Amino acid sequence: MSRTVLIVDDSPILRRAIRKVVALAGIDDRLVHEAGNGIEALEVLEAVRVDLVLLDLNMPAMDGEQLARQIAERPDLAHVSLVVVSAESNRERLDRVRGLGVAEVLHKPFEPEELCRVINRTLGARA
Amino acid sequence: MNRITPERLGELATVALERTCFLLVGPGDRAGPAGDLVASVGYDGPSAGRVWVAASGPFAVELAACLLGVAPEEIDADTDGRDAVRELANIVGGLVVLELGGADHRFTLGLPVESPLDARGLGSEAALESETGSLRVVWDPAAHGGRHAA
Repeated sequence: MSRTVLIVDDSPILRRAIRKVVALAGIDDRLVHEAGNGIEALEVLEAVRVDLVLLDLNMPAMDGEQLARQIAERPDLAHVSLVVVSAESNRERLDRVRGLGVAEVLHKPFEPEELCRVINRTLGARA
Repeated sequence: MNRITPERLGELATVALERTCFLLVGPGDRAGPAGDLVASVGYDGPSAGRVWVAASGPFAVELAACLLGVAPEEIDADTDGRDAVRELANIVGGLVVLELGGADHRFTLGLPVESPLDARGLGSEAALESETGSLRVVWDPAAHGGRHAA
C-alpha cells in the first residue's frame, strides 16, 4: 500500500512502537515519518504529501488539538486523514477534535491489532 | 469523587502493561525499593491529583523491550528505559482519570515528567513484579495536578 503516514507523539519510544504497527498494516517504512509535536508535524506536512496522521493530543509546543485545527483550516491539507491515539479522555476535548474532522479516536492503552485495524479502515475509506 | 483502591490501581497498571505490550505482571513486594526510574503525570478537573510509576532498572528495560518488540540487550536503559517509564505514567494516568471521571470525563491529563515520588500518602499504592523487575504505582488525589510545560 503506497500510502504515507505521519506519527505525531512526544514519546520517541511510542513513535517507534507505532511505526512497527504501521508496518504490520502494510505501509512501506520508507513512507512513514515522525514528529515530536505539532510544529514538527507541520514541517513534515509542508515537505511531504501525507495521507494519514496518527496524532497524540497531549504534547508540548503545539498539541494535537492545535495541529488538527491547523490542518482543518488549510485547504491544501484537506486530503489528510486524522486518527487520534491518546490517553486523553476529556469528553469536551475529544468532541472538539472530532469536530475538526478526526476519523477515529483510539485510547491508550491500545492493542497493536486495534491500531492496525484503524489504520486499514481509515486508509481503506479513502480509496 | 471515586476512590481507587490499591487493588484497582494495580489492575489498571496491569491492564496498561498487558494491552500495550503484553508485559505480564503479578503482585509485588510493597516494601521493596521505590524504583530507579520515576515518572508522574498530573491531572486537573473536578479534582486534581497525580499518578506516579516507579520502575526498577530491569523493569524499565523489560518494558522498553516489550514496547519495541526487541530483545532487552538492544535497549538503551538510559534513554529507552526512561522514555518507556514516562509513557507508562501517561497511560496509567489516563486510565486513572477514566476511572475517576465516570460518564462525564471532565478531567484533563498533563504531560508525563520525570519527578521524585513525593506523594502525601492519601491515595493508593500498588506494587507489581514482572519476571525481571518491580514496579510501584502511586495515586495521590491531594497532589498538584496541572499541565506541565515541557
